[in-house]
Amino acid sequence: MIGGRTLPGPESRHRHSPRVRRLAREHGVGLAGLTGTGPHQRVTPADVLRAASGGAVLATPPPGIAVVEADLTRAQRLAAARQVPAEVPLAAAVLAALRRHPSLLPPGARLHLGVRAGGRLTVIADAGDLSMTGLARRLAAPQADTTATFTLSAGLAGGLLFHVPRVPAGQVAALAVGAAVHRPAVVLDADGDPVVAVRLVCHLCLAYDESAIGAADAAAFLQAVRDRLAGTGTPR
Amino acid sequence: MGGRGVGVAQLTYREAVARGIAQEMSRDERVVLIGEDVAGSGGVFKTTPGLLERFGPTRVIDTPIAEQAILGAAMGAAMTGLRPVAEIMFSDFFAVCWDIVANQMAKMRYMTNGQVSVPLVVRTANGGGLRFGAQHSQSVENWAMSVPGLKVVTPATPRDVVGLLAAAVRCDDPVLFFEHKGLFATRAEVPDGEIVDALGSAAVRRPGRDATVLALGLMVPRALQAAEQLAARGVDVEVIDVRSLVPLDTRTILASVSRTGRLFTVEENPRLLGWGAEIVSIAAEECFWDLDGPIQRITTPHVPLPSADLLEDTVLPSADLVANTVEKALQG
Repeated sequence: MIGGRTLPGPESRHRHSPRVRRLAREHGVGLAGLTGTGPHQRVTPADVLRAASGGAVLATPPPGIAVVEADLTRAQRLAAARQVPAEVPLAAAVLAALRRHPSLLPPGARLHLGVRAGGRLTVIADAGDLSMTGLARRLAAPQADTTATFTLSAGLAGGLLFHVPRVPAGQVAALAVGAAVHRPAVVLDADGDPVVAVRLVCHLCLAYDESAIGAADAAAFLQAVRDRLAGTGTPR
Repeated sequence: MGGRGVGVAQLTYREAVARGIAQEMSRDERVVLIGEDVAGSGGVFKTTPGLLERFGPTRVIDTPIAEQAILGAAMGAAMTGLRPVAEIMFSDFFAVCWDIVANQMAKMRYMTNGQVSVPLVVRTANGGGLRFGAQHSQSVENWAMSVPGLKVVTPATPRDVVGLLAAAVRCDDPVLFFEHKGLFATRAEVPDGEIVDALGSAAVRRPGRDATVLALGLMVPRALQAAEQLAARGVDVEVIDVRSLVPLDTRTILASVSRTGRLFTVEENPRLLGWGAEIVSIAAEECFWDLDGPIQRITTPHVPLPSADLLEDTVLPSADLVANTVEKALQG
């Protein structure tokens, strides 16, 4: 758990023009919580002024944040064996966890998974029962015009350990996967004894709407994703 | 636009040159005109017809093809009490008499501690679009801008030709007056009677909210065309005719940029060190906290101008290029 609320992403500073930053400073408007109405959701000067006058721009409350460490060694092996992009086993694990923890989806919503990788957001409609091969195919040939009900950000730029994803409007939570790094880790050997091994490890950061779910829900979901990735979870 | 009951004439840009010179020659007998073919043939671009007949051969003087002689004579005349208007036929040929411009005219007031001033105007046909090729088509305002002591003016409309020429003639320091060859045939209303503008004043040709577009000379009508295209696409740009590069109307320009938050320059000159680069740097210093996106310059690429129709049309900024560049930048 990180003490602050929203860690500024590396690009957030550059997304605001000098004019927007000046207006925000002058009017005491926090840019982190603003939803932009400009191109590519950029915050416009008008957005800042509207927020300053208490207007219609949504100042979203800071999200709840939960972070766990996950072992990607097996997922990477699976991706290599099936010749699918690295985000595919991640997406599969998220889907499995969402099936077991539907409270992380908007009430009554179908499972449309948004996958942000390489700077691009792909939405896979009705992704709930796709195999890894099916996921890979749908990621490569996305179909337009579906709004995601859960968003997975894979492949953060710049080797960040983790960053707090923005929870898109209408979603309950969003997950960001930090940089995967090889590290010595304690695992159990065949006899169940702890040994040190080199594993591929990453951080999973879940940002969630605290008015929809609590920390326990977030923890259970992250646990499910982590177990699925490690291959130790309950098979469905 | 006549106003105050004054009449209005439809004049071409080239006719406005003769009108402006005549206005000043009849006002002040110290004003003389000197250059190649300015007298007998009325100017190679027909910008000075009738002046010889009206003012006589002692005030309207043909010279040999010798740019150094033209400017040397004009400078001497200016230092000894006349107010000459000299013509360099193509602005490209400043290159053959630049010592007199850059080292003599520009420096004299300073090197004599203000004892000698050089009140003269050098008119010249500048710019491309007429298939004249690399040595007769350049936009060289930036050559002049780079020399302290020179004033640099470029009118874009017939009315401004008269008003800015009058202001240039009445200025006590050397003014380089860049007429655009591509505008000579354009026609617009010019009010009757004396017209005198102020040097260092830009003109807002079209008010707008979304972006500031600065243009000069031939690029002014193109920027205005682009603005109409953009208006049809829901983008409302302000077009400012810079008119005078030195002195520069930073007040008008920066006020507009501060309001719109976006700045584009449309420059006919090749890219490197064009006039827009200087204004952009001023805006970056003075207006940084008002900018709502990157400043962008739209220029001719950094190449000598080709003479082939298709190639010249391709490299000079067009209205389409301006409109598309601005639209893309505002959406980016």
